[in-house]
Parts: sequence; structure tokens; C-alpha cells
Amino acid sequence: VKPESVASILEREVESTIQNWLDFVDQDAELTCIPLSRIERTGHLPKLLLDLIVRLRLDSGLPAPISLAARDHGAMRLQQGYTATMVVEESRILQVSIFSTLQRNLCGVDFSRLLLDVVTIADEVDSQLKQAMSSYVTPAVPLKSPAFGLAG
Amino acid sequence: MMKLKELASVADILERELEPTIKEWLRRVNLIPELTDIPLSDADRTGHLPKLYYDLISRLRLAKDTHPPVSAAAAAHGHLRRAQGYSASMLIEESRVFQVATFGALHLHQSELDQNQVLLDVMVIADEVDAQLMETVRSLMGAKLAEAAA
Repeated sequence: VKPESVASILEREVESTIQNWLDFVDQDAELTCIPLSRIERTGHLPKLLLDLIVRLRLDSGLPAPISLAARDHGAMRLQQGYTATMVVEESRILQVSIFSTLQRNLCGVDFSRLLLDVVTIADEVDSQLKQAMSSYVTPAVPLKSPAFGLAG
Repeated sequence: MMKLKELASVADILERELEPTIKEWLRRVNLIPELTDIPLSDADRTGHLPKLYYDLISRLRLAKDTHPPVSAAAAAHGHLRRAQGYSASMLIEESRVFQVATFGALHLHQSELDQNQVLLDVMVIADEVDAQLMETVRSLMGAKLAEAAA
């Protein structure tokens, strides 16, 4: 059996990955306290997963490209009443759902490339999270006396 | 007769490779001007990582459906980073580099890993790292609101 690339598995499993993500979200009281329709809740995911699949097919080692869609998603979530923490929570669930999809298709995965692709997935999802968070972020002003105790 | 290579767990590899992985994290962070614009010593920059790895390795060794409470150290880290001038976006960047360095370390040692177990452990790592990131961001944003209200 010829091994299947991670990109091909994710492309084939877009619908099930989104459903899996939604099932996790529906059990998360912090997220469901903001009432949204299915399309409002999941509308950003097809583009995010497409960006990820495209990135996986590029040479590894390239930095994540700028995603205007991720930025727009963050702005929309801010309007919908999400906190910054809730945006991080959605992203956490997305990573878990993607890896869960790969686990379900483990028998077809090319193991020699698997962990390189895992690196790319984590890099891309967190890069998109960072861009989504730009609506929430204003630069901090360092305090004059650094906090006590725990280093770094 | 060919000798079979002994498999190591993800937790064992991360524990054994702690020092080089933290060095790799620091090397990558030092390439990101957004982060290095805040001048910190290497010790201040990396001081939270041993505890974060300790929490992660402990979680990997627990039964799979166990979800221990997120470490109080994550919230303390958020407070400290806020005082040092970090934004939430910068915390996400640090956390992204953490995952990249961690999964990169596993890739370097993939021949020692059990192929049937590795993605289950990858899921635990992503879950734990993002849960700690949430707590750190929550703490930083809370400190920011408190400063604004003062």
C-alpha cells in the first residue's frame, strides 16, 4: 500500500475534521455560552484547513504566510463577544481535531514524514491564531520594576 | 540475528532531550525580532520552560483521559511576561516556537518511537501546551485590565 501524505488525508477528511471540532466545541461550556449558528461557528475552518493543506504541500521550512482570513476571523470573534482566551481554546480544539483525524488514518500515513508534518501543522495553526489575536492586542508597556519570583 | 531496537516513550525522549530542546527553543526565539525587542537574559527568557516540560512529561505519563488542572505556574508566567512588556500575541509566538521545538525533537528521534502511540502523544502535547497558553493569556489580559482600571 502506497503511503498517503498528511495533506491528502486532511483534504479527504475536511468534513469529518470540522464535525469532530464542532462536537468538541459543543461540549465546551465557555464557548457555547456565546450562541452561534453552525455556519457562524465553523465558517472559518474550511479556509484555515485549506491554507494548512497548501502549506503542507510546500517545501517544509518555509515560514507561515500572512493570512488575512485569520485576521478577519479574529475581528469577527471579537464582535461576537469572544474573549482572547476563547479564541485560544478554539485553536486548541482545532489542533486536537486535526491530530485525531490523522490518528484515525494512521495505517495509511507515511511515518517518515509524519513528525515533520506535525511541526508544520502546529506552526501553521499557531501562526493563524496569532494573526486572529491581532484584534485583541495592544502593545504592553513594560513596568519599571520587573515582577518578583519566577524567572522567565 | 538482527537485534530489534528498543522503543522509547515520547515522555522519556522529552525528558532525556530537555536541555537541547530548550537550547533549540532559545535559538529560534532569538531569530524573532518581535520577541528579542524585549531585552531579557537567557535565564529570564527560558526560566518557565523546565516547569512547562515537567508538567507536559507528567501529563504524558498519566492515564490518557486524565485532565489535571492547569499549572498555577502558567498564570504566574503570564503575569511576569506582562510586567516584562509582552503582549498576548507574543505569548502565542513563544508557544508556537515551543511546539515547533518539541515536535522537532521528536522528529530527530522518530526511529525510537512507537508508531502506533506517537500521534496520541502529539495530541496530549498540543492539548497541554494550548491549555497552558490559555491560562497564560488569561492571566496577562487580566493584569492588563487591572492596570487599565487602576
